Amino acid sequence: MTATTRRRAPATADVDPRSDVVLAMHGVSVVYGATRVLREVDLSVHRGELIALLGPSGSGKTTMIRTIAGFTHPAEGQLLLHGRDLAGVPVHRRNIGLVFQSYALFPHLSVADNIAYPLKVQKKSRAAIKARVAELVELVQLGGHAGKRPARLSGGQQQRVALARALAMDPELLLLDEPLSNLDANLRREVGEEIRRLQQRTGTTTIMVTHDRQEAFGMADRMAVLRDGRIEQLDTPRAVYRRPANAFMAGFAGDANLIPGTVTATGPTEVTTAAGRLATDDETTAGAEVVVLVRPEDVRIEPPGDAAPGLLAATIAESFYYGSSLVVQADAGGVRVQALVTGAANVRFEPGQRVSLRIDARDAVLVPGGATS
Amino acid sequence: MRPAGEAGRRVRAGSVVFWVVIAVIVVFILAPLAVAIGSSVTATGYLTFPPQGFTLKWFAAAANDPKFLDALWTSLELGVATTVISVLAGVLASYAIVRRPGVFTGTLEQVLLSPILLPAVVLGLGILFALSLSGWLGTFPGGLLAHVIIASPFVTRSVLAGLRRLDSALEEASRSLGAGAARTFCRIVLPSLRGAILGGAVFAFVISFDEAVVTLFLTGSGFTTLPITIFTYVQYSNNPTIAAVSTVIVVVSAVLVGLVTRGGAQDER
Amino acid sequence: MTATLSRAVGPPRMRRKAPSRRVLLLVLPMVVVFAAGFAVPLYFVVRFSLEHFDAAGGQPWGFTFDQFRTIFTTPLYGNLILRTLGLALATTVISALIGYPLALAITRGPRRLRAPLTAVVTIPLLTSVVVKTFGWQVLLSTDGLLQRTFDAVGLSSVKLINTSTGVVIGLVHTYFPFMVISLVAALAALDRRTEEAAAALGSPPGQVFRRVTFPQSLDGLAAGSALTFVISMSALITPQMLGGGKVSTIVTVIYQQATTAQNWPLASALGVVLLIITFLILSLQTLAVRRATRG
Repeated sequence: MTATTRRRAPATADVDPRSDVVLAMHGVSVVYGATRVLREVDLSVHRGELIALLGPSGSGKTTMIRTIAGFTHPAEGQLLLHGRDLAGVPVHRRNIGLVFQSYALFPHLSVADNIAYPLKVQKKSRAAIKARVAELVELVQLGGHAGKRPARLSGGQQQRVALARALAMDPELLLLDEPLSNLDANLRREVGEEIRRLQQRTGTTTIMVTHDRQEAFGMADRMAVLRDGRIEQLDTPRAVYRRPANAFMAGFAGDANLIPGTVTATGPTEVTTAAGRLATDDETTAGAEVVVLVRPEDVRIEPPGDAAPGLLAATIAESFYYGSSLVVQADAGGVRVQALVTGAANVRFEPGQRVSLRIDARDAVLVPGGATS
Repeated sequence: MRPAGEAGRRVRAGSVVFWVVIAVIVVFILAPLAVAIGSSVTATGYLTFPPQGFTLKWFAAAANDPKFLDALWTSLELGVATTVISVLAGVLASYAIVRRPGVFTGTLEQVLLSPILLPAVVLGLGILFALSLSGWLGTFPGGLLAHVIIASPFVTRSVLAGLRRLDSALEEASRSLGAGAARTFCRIVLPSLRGAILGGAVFAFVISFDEAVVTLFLTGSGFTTLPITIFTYVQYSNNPTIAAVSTVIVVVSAVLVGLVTRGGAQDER
Repeated sequence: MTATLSRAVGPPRMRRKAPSRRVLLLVLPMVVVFAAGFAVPLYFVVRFSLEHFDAAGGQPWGFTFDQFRTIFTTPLYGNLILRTLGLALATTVISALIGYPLALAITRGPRRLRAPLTAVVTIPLLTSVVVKTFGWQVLLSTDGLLQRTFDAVGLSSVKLINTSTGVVIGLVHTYFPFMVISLVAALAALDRRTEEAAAALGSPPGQVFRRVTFPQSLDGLAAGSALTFVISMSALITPQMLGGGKVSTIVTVIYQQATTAQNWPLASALGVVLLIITFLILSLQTLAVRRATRG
């Protein structure tokens, strides 16, 4: 039932293979009592990149960064920081910065003293501490707030203090646990972009945990999607969106139309579905049962026309107007297909209206593993 | 609540009765303290309330009586020593109990708090036996041991509550920033617990300073506290000096109550 | 991506033992103090309660239930236990009657009265029982203000000093704060919206209190009552100072037997009886609360 799908070489830029690996995880499993929270996780984090760990709650993403930080110990596997085995290295000797979801700012210390904390631990000279704190306060744009207690700052400011404090120790790796989840919804994107700029400017290798895919897409160089303690897919945001590893990933990465069909021609590939034939650039074996992924924004609605490859006959079921876009639900041979129409303020569709759905060959992607999983 | 009309008037009448009852209760609570203070200025040679005339000579008499001064000094020393030991040992034990939950620490918590509910007289009896048999009866260290048992549960309880409110992420943050366990404890945990420790310490001091039951079993010629001295004195004397001494104690307690409530320490028994 | 190097590392290091050694180190000071000042003394109380009284001095390490037999067969001690329980019961009931309105005033009254009323409850708690009781001694004595007031209004038959009445007054004054604290905790924890809902459903204030507020505060009342009962039952200073030797309780007898009479075994046996009663009452209250929350 499963088709052997051969993929084209990824079009998107992958990670530079020459860059050194900062953190390597090899077959790491974490067990809490009887439950396996992480299952044989492999991950390599390269210098200067930001990796987002994305997954629903309970998928093991927080356990993963707590394991890297050293609060949780793996039952199996190995963690290497710059090639050095972390087994037996206590939290405070790892030099891994961690920004907590609750920020965990020390309430009895001022902003400056919070940031100075790791420097005092390192027994830096007073002058060096003062200079570094001033530099960091400037970096996170908290000038004028250095003497305040954390409780007097806004959520976004507190978050920047937490970030500056973690950066103060010059960490080899920075871990961010749900950095935006405690912020107002309308602030998240702005702060997220700011964190990203800061991360790029300082070149800090970073792992960020989030349950919000928009955050992951917007901020990460690569993202690892976790599910039940396993990494389902690790790739650039573009690749994850355009080339999901399986049907679960297709739906997890964004709105997805999954249209089942049979491969009736090869070179170029043609898939026959209940509502017509679809052309795709992907290659596979003839006669295979496949599932075609088409993103809603790649579906174009046209007046009904003759059957041709790339055209599906459909009936409009309903439509929703969202201002900048129009979401149209159509029935294509018993399969619900969603189309996202933008820049079409005057376009209207009535339920029952017969239409053709045009899908270009480059936008039709064969999903590995079919509809299962 | 401001209901209008007739029902409202009935409610208001009801609340007048209610507040009169409250006022009577407040008078009842403050009466003996007012008496102790009031009768300390009576010009008569015996205790009476309301006082007749006004004089401060009983305060002078108390201040010149070595019996009271020695006892006051002992009580202060005992209170301070009790507080210091209770805080030091109580903070360490509480930290272990909260951060390493288990059967051992759970049982320990129950034991360390149990003197609050245990009849003091039984404790006094037991400590009397233990001290007599070991030759420590009527000594300061013997009394100190008893006072730590009585007062430390209040420190322990206060610090336990403080630790349980403390976000454990603060300690993790400190560790991840490179600080070891000892530094994290001194720089992060202790400062965060300041209120809880202070509240528990004030309470421990007051409990020790006022304690009379257990101490009554343990006093001897070389060791007696201010409350015990008052207790013994009033058995045979009707002299207003005792009222002057009591007034001093009431004032000290009131000041400490002010400190505790001002410090925002949580409700304590 | 790197090849899977799945290798068993075994249980997470050998550091498991280390924390427990650290725990022992942290609790050591308190454990030493409690071993010397708590465990050993309690052991002696239990041990001496099973001992013969040897008036000649010197304690032969025997074993007998003589003391308990004396306590449970002599009407003197039976009455003593009943009187102790009676005094504690009266103290508890009156404390509840006084404490409830006060707790209501603290939790439901005007905000600006909250701090002064709380202080009023706390001050007697933090004032030495000896001082408070001394104040009562002056007030209750034959020529004291309260007794003279009683005489003036024709209640001269009621004697206050050296009677159970006087002792109960002193006990209530000393121990009712425990009741108030329990009740304040219960009333403060109570969801005020249930009261508002009852009012919105048409209940006048009195009914809201009877049907909604009071039933929800019963746990606090039970906890406060149990506490007030066991603590007032164990009072020594108040019955001693206000009873003038005429009102004896288990505790005053323990004190006399331990110090004046030097009868350690009898004092210990009475102490064990007191401990058992305390334990029973506290268990009863825990049980009642548990049943109430389950039912």
